[in-house]
Amino acid sequence: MSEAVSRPSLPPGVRRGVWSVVVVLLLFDGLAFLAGEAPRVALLKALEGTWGTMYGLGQVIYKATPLLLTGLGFRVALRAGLFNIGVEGQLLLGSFAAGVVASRLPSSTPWPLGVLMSLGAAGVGGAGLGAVAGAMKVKFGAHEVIVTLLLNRIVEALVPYVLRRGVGVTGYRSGDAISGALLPRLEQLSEVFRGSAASLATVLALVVCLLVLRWERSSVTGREFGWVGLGAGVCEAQGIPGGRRLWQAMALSGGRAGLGASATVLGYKGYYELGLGAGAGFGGIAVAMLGQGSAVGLVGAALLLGTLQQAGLVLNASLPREAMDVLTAAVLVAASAGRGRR
Amino acid sequence: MSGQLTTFVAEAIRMAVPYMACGLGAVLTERSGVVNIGLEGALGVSALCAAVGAIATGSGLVGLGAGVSGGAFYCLLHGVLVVRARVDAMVSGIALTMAAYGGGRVALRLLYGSASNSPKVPGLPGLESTSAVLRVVSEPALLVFGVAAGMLVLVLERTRLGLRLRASGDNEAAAEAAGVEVGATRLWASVLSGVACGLGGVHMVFDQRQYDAGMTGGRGFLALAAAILGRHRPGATLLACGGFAALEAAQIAWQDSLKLAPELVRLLPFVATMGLLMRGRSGMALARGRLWR
Repeated sequence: MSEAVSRPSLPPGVRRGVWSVVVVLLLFDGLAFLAGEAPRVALLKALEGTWGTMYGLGQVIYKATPLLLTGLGFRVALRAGLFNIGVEGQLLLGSFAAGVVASRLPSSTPWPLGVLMSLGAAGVGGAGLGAVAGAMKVKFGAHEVIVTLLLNRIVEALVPYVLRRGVGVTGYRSGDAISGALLPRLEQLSEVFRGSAASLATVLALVVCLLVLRWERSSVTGREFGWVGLGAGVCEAQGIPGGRRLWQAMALSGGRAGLGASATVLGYKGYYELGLGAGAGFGGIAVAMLGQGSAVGLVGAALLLGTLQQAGLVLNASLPREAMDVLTAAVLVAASAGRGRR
Repeated sequence: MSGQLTTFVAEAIRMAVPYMACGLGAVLTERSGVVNIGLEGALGVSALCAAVGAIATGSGLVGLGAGVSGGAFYCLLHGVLVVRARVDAMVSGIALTMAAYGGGRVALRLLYGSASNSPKVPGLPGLESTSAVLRVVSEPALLVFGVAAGMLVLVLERTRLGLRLRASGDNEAAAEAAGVEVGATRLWASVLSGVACGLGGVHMVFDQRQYDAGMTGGRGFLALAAAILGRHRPGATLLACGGFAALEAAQIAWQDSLKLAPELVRLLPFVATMGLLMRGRSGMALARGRLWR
């Protein structure tokens, strides 16, 4: 990767993006063919159901929103040299926390306050889980990958248990959020998005994305996260608290992933139910690997994966929607080729 | 033996196979310097291949072959992505696990028109016996795994390939300087680990006589943890795997007399592992997975 390239070169980010789209298209054709559908017909149907209508576009935006946040979350840990596979569980716990808090607030809580408190719960839920993994790493030297894999499983089993034990209204969902904790849908602002699940959460996610990237680039603390990733020992020698930055990176990572609940719980459903937003955590890993450090890259990657997910729903009758998980995995690999840690 | 104890012993032996298969797979690949968190996916893919092969031909032997080849192929794919295409091992592992989960469901729908499980799989005939333990132990897939596991451990510890494999993981620069082709050795290690995992997948399918989408249930991940707890030594790792299986079997055998909710009991291995990881020392074998060239 480091050797001087003399051929006429596209910026690496663009090359990765093009490469990923090509891989997606080829695999998509293959899968559609296996499912007995003419690839071109399936592709046109998928395009029409995603970017062809305002409704479809709204759905793509809705799906892309948690992906952008989990991608941002994964990224901060990666910069610090940590591989946070726990974003999936952190998003789950954040969504659960947001659903419970939004439904338990006094119903007179005024609008922005209810949203802020629910989002706070989502962030704290995700960050708490991330911090556990970070502490295990810093204090006991346990590898973050194995710890977060275990934590994912633990949360996946505990949340249904807690819901069933009376925290939820039924065994699989939380109570309805009070009106002061809901994020308005885009359809309330403009007729064109009628029926789609997109909400102000998308705007929120974009603002968070821009602020976070700016903070990472231009604040001392933000840059320290990157330096720790380059060498924790050197950082300690220079007086940067390496260990502390490591677990903070995990906590921040989880917190941002938890905010993904804004789109699903607060913007769309109005409650948490089991499985809501599942998969967005692993998708976020692909978003981060594909999008790297630029806002355009991250948003583009989130839109690409959001498009895949929505296309999966559109085609579900003939091509099982889980096929899109295979495509997401392919994007993840294609986006990371040639960049293994040395 | 009392009824519950018999159930416990039989279930523990039965459950131990997928754990041990993946645990051995983890040892083989990680000792060579390639971390593979996609073993969970390899377990699922080999189970699917075993089911599809056996159903299509009606022959358990074909299913066995298909399952083992599926597992070996999947792990080799990981090896190629990591060693040759220089994809981060963690990225490749998680991607392959995702693809296996998704691909399993796609295959079920396209082949059998079902969202969750395959039709009945013709396995290999075991002993007909009234003793549950005997029935479990005589399951041919278990016997094959037992023999293969012994051979794989011998390969790792007593052969030239095994020596090169361990050298590649311990110090790749030194291994390369001594004339070992580190990249190729790692690919071989991947294949061997895939064979081990594949036998685990085959056993799960033959034992339950069907494939269902979530049947791996995180066992591949726990096996990784077992490898860490066993410090990547085959014996200790297999022992840790047996421990996980015993926990799972105890839950089945004493379900009724336990007052705990089943999902909490199912968490035990995961929580126990977290606790064990806190003893420290567990840090590292995973970090060894640095890339050569």
